[in-house]
Amino acid sequence: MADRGLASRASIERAFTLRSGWRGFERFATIIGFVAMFAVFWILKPGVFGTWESVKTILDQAAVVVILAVGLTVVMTAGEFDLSFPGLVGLSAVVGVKAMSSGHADPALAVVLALATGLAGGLVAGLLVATKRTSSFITTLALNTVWGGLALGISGGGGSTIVNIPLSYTTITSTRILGITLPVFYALGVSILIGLLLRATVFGRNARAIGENPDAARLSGVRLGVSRTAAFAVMGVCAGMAAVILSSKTAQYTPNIDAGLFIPPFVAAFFGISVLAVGRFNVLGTVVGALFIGTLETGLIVIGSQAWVGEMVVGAALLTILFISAQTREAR
Amino acid sequence: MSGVAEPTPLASLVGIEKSFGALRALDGVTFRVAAGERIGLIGANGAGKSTLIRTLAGVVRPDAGEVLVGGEPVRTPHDAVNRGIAVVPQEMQLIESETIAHNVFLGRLPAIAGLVRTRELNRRAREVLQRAGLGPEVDPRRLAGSLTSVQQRLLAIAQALSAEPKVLVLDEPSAALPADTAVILGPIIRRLAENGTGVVYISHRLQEIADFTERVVVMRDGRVVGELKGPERSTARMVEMMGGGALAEEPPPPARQSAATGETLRTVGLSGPRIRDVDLVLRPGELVGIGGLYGSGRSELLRLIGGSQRPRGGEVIYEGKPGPRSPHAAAKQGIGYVPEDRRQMIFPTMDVVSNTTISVLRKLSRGGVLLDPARERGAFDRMAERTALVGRPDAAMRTLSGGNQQKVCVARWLIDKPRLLLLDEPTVGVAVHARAEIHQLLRSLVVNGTSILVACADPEELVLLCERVVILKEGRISAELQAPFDPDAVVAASYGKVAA
Repeated sequence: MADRGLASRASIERAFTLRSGWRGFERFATIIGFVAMFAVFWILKPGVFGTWESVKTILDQAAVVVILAVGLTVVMTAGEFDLSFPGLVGLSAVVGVKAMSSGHADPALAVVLALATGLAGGLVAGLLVATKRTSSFITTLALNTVWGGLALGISGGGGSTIVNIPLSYTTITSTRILGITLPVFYALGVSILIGLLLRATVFGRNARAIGENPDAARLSGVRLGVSRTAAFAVMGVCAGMAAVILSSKTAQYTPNIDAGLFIPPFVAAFFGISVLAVGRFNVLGTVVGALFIGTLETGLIVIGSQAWVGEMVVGAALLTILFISAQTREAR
Repeated sequence: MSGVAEPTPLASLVGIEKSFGALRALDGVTFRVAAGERIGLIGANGAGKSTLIRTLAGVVRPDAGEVLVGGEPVRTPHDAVNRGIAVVPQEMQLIESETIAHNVFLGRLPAIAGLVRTRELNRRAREVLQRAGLGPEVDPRRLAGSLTSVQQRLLAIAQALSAEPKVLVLDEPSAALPADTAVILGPIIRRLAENGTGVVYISHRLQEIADFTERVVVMRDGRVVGELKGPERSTARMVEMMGGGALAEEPPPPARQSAATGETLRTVGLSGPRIRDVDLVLRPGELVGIGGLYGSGRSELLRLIGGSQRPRGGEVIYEGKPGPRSPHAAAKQGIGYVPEDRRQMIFPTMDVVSNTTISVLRKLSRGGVLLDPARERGAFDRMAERTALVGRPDAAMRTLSGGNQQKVCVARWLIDKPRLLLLDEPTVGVAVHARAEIHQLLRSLVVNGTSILVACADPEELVLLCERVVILKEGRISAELQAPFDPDAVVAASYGKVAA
């Protein structure tokens, strides 16, 4: 038995030695990475990258990811996962857009419908997870497909693009204040609200307690089901907002409206763990993470890399950040 | 080189320093264990004993200093295990639904191609059990859950011995044992030492330290403040060194008031997991103990009453109405429950204030929605004073000592005046003076009309604390003792003999 132990001992020691060298610097690893990435893009495309114009583009592009990521931060603070939001974005978008194209609804009503759809979808996920106590990972994975299928059905069977939308709907996202597009302000507003929700409310404290030790929270009299459902509901509304922004920007609904939305919010949320060195999910960190992934995606397009490079890099970023955030959590 | 001089240490920790945030847990500690030595390690809660042991076990990485075992450095738990360090933790890690033999070799079952060699396993288990003081009457094929609490303690030691350690650390092995059964640990430790194992014995029970060990290391505030050898090892001397002065002797239980009228709690034919047909009445301002052997259903009874477990039969009547159906409902009705295992009650990385206010957060908030930090802090300060809590309000809960964590768990229910407290082993793993403080707190609560049920395995504590004790045996009430009674009566009743 001792012989078998040797090989693994050596490997474990190596792993730990590596980790000890990693310490100290790990607190700032993500920020250093962010700065380094920006520097690389700047050197490659000095005329484009780093200009105020490009910053505005990055902010505009990152708004949707910021909103989804801070919503996800709420769910993950409560110790759960949500994989259903891409499907829910699609569903919310098609409900709002279809109401305008077929039902001649006012754009304002369409926005309300989209947000309500998001809320309803979030509540369904939350209630399923909270009452059935199934793994939120699998439950929301299944729901993602349900929402996706439902969206296709509503859009017209085979999944058709809907384009006849009132022009005023596009002003929701195209209007600028001080040269900055509205989605940036939406994202800022949502981030501040959710930041306060997590830090300054009874719900936020309870959510964190549940995420940290659900048994202890239950025995302390916290109603787990209520808090968990509420967390998913918040995420649902965020998905609804993302749907409005995306459909307004493109002035249409397309079946692949949620393309590329799946991974970046997770990158952002896990990125947030290691920012500020607090060792847990937090809204400010998540926002920085979302800007990181936005910069990365935009930067890759600017330097002219192909689509497959972007996909791979985003996936690799999630792996790297998972690794770094795990280190931070151990070290805290 | 003469043989009798300082023996080469098996394990040595030299100049160990470790801080957790602002808390200086170890401040230049040097500690050596030689072969065949029996060392007592004592100190008040938060003195650094646990951190020192966790450092030896490779779990805590020191900020400075060196841990050498067999001349080689220890940096990981893996190193420590491989070089022969075994720690029997305070909280046992037994799987009750597995056989004794499986528990002994947990994680290192003798196997061929993944198949457990049962015959070999049982033979080797018998041998290890023997060394841990569990004789041939204990069949390794039985389930671990069938053992008594003392035997389970010994099984935990056997578990550690199965790794053939050179140094064995016993962390509060007697904490959950009645004092008169703990004496069997003495000869077991002596025999292990005679065979060359270095034994480190940690306990709050100083008499055991004096009886079982030959050298006593005293810690205080993260430092080793002294060492006692031979005849110096009197408990009085130990107390003096640990506390740096006076340790309050616990006052005798106050004179009981005449029986209060009314009824806080009544159970009628209550049945559930491990509990059968329990009828119990608790009056306002009564402090009643629940005694009985390990596995007799003490903890389960509290859980049924507190609504964290659903009864299978019978009913709980609280203040004349059906009892709570969930911990949330219980909290709303003024019932507080603190389980035996503190890990089920704390939020380790959250701050101490949040840990204290979690149960009444809504009431301390603005409109039940927005947190009100000033009010929370105010409530915390009141509780900290009331429970003699020592801990920075903004410190992470996990940096607190066991006794202070326990105080937070109790304080949680005191902010909003509780009418019924259900406490499971409220002083397990708590230092002597913190234990006295907790007892004092419970007495003051009872005077103010709170009813308290305390489940407790330690007969002496029951005597010290309770005016009435209900003894459970196999889930049923087997006896009821009224003060005055002595520990022997509790033990006798627990084993089902009729108390004299």
